[in-house]
Amino acid sequence: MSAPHAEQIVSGYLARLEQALAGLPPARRAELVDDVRSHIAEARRGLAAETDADLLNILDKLGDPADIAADARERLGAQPPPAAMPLGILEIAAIVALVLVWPAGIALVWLSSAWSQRDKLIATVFVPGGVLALGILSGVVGRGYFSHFYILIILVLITPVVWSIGAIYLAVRLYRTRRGGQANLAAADSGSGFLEIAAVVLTPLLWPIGVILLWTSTAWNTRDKLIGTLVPPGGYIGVSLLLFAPALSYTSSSTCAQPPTGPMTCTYQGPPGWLSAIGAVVGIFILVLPILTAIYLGVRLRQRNPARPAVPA
Amino acid sequence: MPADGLVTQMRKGALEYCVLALLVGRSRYAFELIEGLASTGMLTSEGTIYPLLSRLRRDGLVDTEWRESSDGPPRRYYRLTADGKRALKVFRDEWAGFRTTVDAVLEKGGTL
Repeated sequence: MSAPHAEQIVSGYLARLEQALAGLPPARRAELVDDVRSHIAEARRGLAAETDADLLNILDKLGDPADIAADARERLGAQPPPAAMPLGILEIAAIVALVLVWPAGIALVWLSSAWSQRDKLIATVFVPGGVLALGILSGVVGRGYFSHFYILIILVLITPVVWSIGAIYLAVRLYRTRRGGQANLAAADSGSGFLEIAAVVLTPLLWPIGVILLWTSTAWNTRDKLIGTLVPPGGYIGVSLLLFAPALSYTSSSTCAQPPTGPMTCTYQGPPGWLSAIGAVVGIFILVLPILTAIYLGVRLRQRNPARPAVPA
Repeated sequence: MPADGLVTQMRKGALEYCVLALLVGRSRYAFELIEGLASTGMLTSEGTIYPLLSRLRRDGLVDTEWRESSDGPPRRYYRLTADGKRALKVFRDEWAGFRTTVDAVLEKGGTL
């Protein structure tokens, strides 16, 4: 049977322990409190009829929570205090750029170590395209692909909200992590697994997904990842959008006028010849780039495998 | 007192390897380890075994496994890993040499 004040005595001790362990990583803290809780339960198992004094003896033998905490700090290493993490200019720039210049923002987000892999993925998915894409989107929509005006309005209103949620999420995570004083650097296994192959294949085709996979993998270093992200900006989706936009704004048309006297004159309004030529060259270049990048990533992957361990980004 | 601090530190350092030694050939749960160490006087407060075990686990010298017990909630058993065995062997050799050297100096003292 439980001692009269068992609950009070035990939970009081555990609360003091938890408090004394402040500053240790939350996971370690929780583990230690759990261990000590199990210890007390184990010790109570051996008692036939426990008294308050029995419990107090168990706790005495366990030791002062402050001593256990001091030992834990020594054994588990002093964790760098939250203040040691500099107020990241990188992180702030990442959040701002995310909303304004998406590719740059995403690159900065992934360069920073302040966010966990999961946070970065969420940010990448939730902030698709930034204002850049909004421009393209409203351009496409405005050109009559969707004639309904309110669809445009809804898109224009909703997309910035979604991006802001992404940016706010990152900011909150940053704040939490800084307070926790623990950069969550999850190191995944390296290698040319399914993830890496999917990243190489999807980067030119479905850019956002390919880029996410690229950054999730630890098989490439940060430089490779940046090249993979920025060189094919948007993959073929981005390319088609890019090609669409000028084509839409330059609808060629001919206006003809016949004055009362004289022959009919026609004026051709379309992209000038030189612009078309440059457009064609740029177009071919853009079409080839994603493939080249995918090949580059593939080569880097082969170089890295299997002997050398991957350098975590 | 410096000497006292040194002894405390030595005891703390050696305790890790004593725990590893207790795990040779059989896995044990924390309470058993505490019982095993009780007679040695090395564990001044029982609670400090937990940071130590956490450290050993983090360093990959032991791994853990939950096992059902016949008379209560499951217990977490600690087991020596290959790295743990290696670390223990290194310590054994070092310790033997260290003890011999210090003993020799302490015994002969000024006659050296």
